[in-house]
Order: sequence, then structure tokens, then C-alpha cells
Amino acid sequence: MGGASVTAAGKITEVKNGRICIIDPDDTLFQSINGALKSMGYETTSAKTGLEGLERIRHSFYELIIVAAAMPDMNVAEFLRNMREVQHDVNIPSSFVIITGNDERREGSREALKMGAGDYITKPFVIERVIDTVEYTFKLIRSEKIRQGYSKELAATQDTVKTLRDELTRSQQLTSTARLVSYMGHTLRNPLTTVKNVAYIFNRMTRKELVDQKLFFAFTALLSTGVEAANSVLTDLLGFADHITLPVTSAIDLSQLIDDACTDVPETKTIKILKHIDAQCKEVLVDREKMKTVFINLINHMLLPANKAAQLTFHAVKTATLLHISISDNGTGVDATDLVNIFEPRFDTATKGVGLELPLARGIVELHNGNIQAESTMGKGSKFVITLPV
Amino acid sequence: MQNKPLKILVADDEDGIRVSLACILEMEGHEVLTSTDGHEAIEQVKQHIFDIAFLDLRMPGKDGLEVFAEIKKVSPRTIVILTTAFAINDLIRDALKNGVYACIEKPYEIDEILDIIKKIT
Repeated sequence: MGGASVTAAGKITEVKNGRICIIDPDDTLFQSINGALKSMGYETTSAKTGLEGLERIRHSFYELIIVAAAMPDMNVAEFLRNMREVQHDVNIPSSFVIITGNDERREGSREALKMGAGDYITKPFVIERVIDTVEYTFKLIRSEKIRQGYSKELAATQDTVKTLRDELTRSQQLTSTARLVSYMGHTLRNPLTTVKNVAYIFNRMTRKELVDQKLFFAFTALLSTGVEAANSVLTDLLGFADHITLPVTSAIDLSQLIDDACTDVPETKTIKILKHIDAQCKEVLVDREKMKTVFINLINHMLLPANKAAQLTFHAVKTATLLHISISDNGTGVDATDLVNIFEPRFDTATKGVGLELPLARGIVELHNGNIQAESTMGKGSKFVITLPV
Repeated sequence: MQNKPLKILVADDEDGIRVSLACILEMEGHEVLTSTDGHEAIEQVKQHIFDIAFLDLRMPGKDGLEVFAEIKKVSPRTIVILTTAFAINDLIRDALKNGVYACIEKPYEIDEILDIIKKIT
């Protein structure tokens, strides 16, 4: 707390502790404590009536106002009401008002104290008591200012967090798309290399070799495989794109949906399936076909031969705001470096495919405004956790 | 037509590429052996000494870099050329530092490949 004020002589004096306005008709309070307060670094001013006091407050900012309970023109409660209007933008909580009066019964000040005025000092007063009360009240004022400062900072930080989060989501989406496009572009280069090489071969073949049908057909067959491979990459990509549409939700029985997904994956017949589905999940709002695709893709992934899973466990719990679904397996698990990129288009070493099943699963979950995480412990198993808003 | 027939390894899991490149090199008069993945490539390298090895960077099992590491051990004089559909700059830079002769992006110009072979011999 502090500020500087410029005196008439142009010298800047520091107001170390704050500004106090003392409103007292008989002036005794002001005369007795003014010297002491000034020496402690407070700046003081006085007024004899409520109206005069309000004028002072209108023109300058005072952290603390000491008000006599019995003013000629208004009582303290009225004064407080008027003060609030006069304050305009400046928000002095009315607790920072100290009332002085003759009587412990607190005269008409009961209402003012109810409105939140801070303290009551009886006359005749002990100067030390007044000073102590002033000091204590300024401590409260300082705390309040710090609290308000923190509040503002917190609000600003929350705004920043929200903005950054939105930007991050946008840039993640852009990055995901860019990565996918880049991945597809590179993947298409393989089959195109085949086509280019075969074209070169045809160019270089002698007439005699070209006439050799077996040789000719061998190379056209190669051309075909190149074109097929390119086409399957494009099919994967288009299949992915087809699913990236807005979900059409309806009330779905989650347990039933999981059963349907398992039916579409024949390998599930060879393993054990456990389900722990909350009764509340009889009705969840999702796009049925899309979520089925998510489950099928996750199940297919977990049942890849390399993972050696013999059991899948489904958990689902619904709270007031969120639906949590998890699928765990007891397979070999993946290590941390593979886990990081698990939802990226995968160069699938097991098959020739581009591996868009998990990116698609994630895409669909995100279209539902949810998110999906993967966890894994080597030797123990892996788990996918889907969180959706309800 | 090349003067000197070389023994060349072509390793790529994409059938079309493997067969067509092998064929082109044979048309130039070289002896070509092929592998469909990293493990096979390492087996081949252990059994034969190659003058040149064309290795696909991304293969199932062991990838091109792992095969290169093996070749360095077993047959350091073999010239290794990496081919890749994915230009991963850091990986490529490190590979070149470690002794890979060249890293070529697919699809490549055959004339470029044949020029490299001419330069080597």
C-alpha cells in the first residue's frame, strides 16, 4: 500500500500507509489522532457532516473512513448507502469503515454494522485503541487488495489457459492432418517406384525380349501389383475419410454394442471376454456405427498375433458428466517409445497395410468430443481408456 | 552394359520394387540376390560377399539401418545404398555419417542408380 502525492510545492511525498477520512461533527477525534496518524505515515482529512464527508470521498480515494455515529445530517447506515453510490468504480468494501460513538449500545449503528462496517470505538476513546484499530484495519485492507490481485491474476490465467488449450487443439488437429497426409504421400511412393521401374524396363527391352510373351506378361503383372498396392493405400485413406463426419447419436446399450463388435471380430471366439458394464450404461448417447468401428479397431489391434492376448476385459462407468470405457488385455504389452506414437498412422510390420485403425478410433472418439489414452506394461498387458462427455 | 559384373543385394519388402530393380540390374549384367525383409537380408549378407547392397530403409523385422550395421561388421567393403519412401532427415544424416554411401528417395531415376554404380567401379 502506498502511493505518492504531489504537494502544492511540487514535492512528491510518499503516502506510506494510506489515506484516511475522518468525519466527526465535534472535531475532537480528528484533533487528537491526526498528529499520531500523520507521524505514522497516513494522510488524513476531516469533515464535519455526512455530506461533507461524501464530497471528500467523491474527489479522492480513501482506504479508511472513520465516521461518527451521530452526524447532524444522516446516520451511519445512510452514510454507507450513499458512500456506495459515490464510490462509482472504486470498490471500498464497507467493512473498512470504523464508527465512533458515545454508547456501547451502538446507537443507530447496529444497521451499519450489519451492512458490514468494520469496527466500533466508543467515546471517550483511548488514542492507542484508535490507532490499533486503524492499523489492524489497514492490515485487512492490504490482505483484501492482495486477494483481489490474486483473483484477477487467476481469472486472467484461466483465460490464457483456455485460449492456449483451444490453440493447442487446433494445432494438434492440423498437425495430425499434416502427418496423415505426409504419411500417405510417402507410402504411395513405393508402388509408384514399381511402376516407374517397370516403365524403364519396357523402354530398355529389345524387340526380341518384348516379343517374348512370358517376359512381357511377367512385367505387366508387376505393373499391376504396383497399381494394386497404390490403390489399397488410397482405399485405406478414403475409408478413413468416410468416417470423419459428424456423429449421429442415439441412445445405445453399451453392453450390447460391445457384443456386436465382438461378433464382427471372429478371433474373439478364441479368447476369454470379460465385461464389467455399469447398469447406467444401458443408455449412452453415441453414434452406433462409429463407436462400433472404434471397438472393432481396438479389439483387432489387441488381438494382433504379436500381442499374444488371451483375454479382453471391458469396463464401463458413467458419472453425471462423463462416460469412462476401458478395454484391457493380458498380452505382451508395448514399450514406452512405441506407446507414444500408437495413435499415429502405423507402418504395419505385420501386414502391408498403412495401419489407420487406431488413428481412426481416435478420430471418432474425438468427434464425440471425448479422448482416448493408451497405457501398457511390458509383460503384463495394455489398456485403452475412452472418456466421453454424457 | 557394365564392364565388370558385380554381386548386388536388393532388399525391399515391396514385391514390385524388389523384382523390378533386380531385373534392371541383371539387364546390366550383374548378379543379383534379393531379400524380402531385414532378417533375410542379414542371412544373405552372412553367406555372400556383396559389392553393393540396396536396402530399403523401412522393412519388417530388421530395418535397413540394422542390416547396414550387420554389413559393416561382416563385410565392411560392401557399398550400402539406402532407398526410402520416407525422408527422415536425422536418420539419413546419421546413416551417411556412419558410412552409408548414399540415401536415395523413391521413386528414383534408374539412370541415377546406374551412374552411382559406374562411379563405384
